[in-house]
Amino acid sequence: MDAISLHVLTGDGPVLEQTVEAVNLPTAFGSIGVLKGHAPMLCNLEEGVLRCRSSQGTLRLFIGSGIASVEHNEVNVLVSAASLLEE
Amino acid sequence: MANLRAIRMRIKSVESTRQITKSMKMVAAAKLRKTQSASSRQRSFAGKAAQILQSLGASAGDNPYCRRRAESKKVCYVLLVGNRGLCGTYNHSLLRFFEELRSGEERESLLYVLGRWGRDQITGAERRFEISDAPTAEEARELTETLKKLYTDGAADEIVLVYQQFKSVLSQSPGTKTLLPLRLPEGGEKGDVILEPDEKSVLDRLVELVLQNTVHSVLLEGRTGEHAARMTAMTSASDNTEELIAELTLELNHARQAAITTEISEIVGGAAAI
Repeated sequence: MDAISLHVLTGDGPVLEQTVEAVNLPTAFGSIGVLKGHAPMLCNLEEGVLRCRSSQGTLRLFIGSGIASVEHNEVNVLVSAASLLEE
Repeated sequence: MANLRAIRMRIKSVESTRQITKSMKMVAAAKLRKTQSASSRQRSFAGKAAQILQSLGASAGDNPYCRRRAESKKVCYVLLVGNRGLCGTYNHSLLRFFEELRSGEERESLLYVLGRWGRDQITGAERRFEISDAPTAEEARELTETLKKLYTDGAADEIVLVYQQFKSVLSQSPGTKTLLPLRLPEGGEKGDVILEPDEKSVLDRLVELVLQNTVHSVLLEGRTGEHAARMTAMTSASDNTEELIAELTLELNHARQAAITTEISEIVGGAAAI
């Protein structure tokens, strides 16, 4: 089921590289869900929590503002800062 | 005998110099590795951002950072020097390059200095900033904000970064990069992409990201060059101490031999006199 390759990058290096099933991106107008086969998209991200669901469970990352690009089941998240939130 | 002691003392002092230069070399090598790997991580980030910008294929529009001003009267130079000395000609050649650049500049110019070395060596700077040995994205972001503000306030119509470009570990050469106004890549093909919330905001965000990346990559490149220059300088300094020690040891042996010979001939002479 995991079909989306998610890359969360900051200027200091990658924070997360994983194949996931769904990604939830925080934007200024609420969160946007991305599933397999999503149309190409560029969106501005605001500070908030990014969620991604994979077969291994759900991960949450706190991210700073930035930008995300979705294309061909690849999600690139470029942000000023990111850190994994522990459960 | 006094001569012998003097030579021994010199050897000792050269040996302690060697110890210092050797450890400075190791420290520089470790820092070089650190900045180099940070550099490559930063490049992959900047590459992605540039790729997205290209795919957006946007025209500069009325983005305040891309628009060229009708008149460019004031230029701000941002000079990135090292944090310390003892790195060969790294700082001096950059300073010489900058002075030539500034004397050939007809517009009014401002000077911002980055790096601790510049604190004592460079006069006439409007502002000074401390940049760590391995600059982080956060440091780059803060500096970018300051420079952006300078540009939008109209205190400068052009911002130029002056730094040592990293060619290889053995060679760096002074160069410039214009930060603002930003030149967008041309010939991008605009695909069928959803833009959230709209094209202008996405472009604004991307421009911000690109500016930050430019500053961060320049900071990293400059620092990588500094560590490389220091490592090279300290390697040759260590080699020189080895040579000096060999010469001094030879001199010491000569002097010792001469002393022994004199002593023997004195004894022989004394015995013959009796």
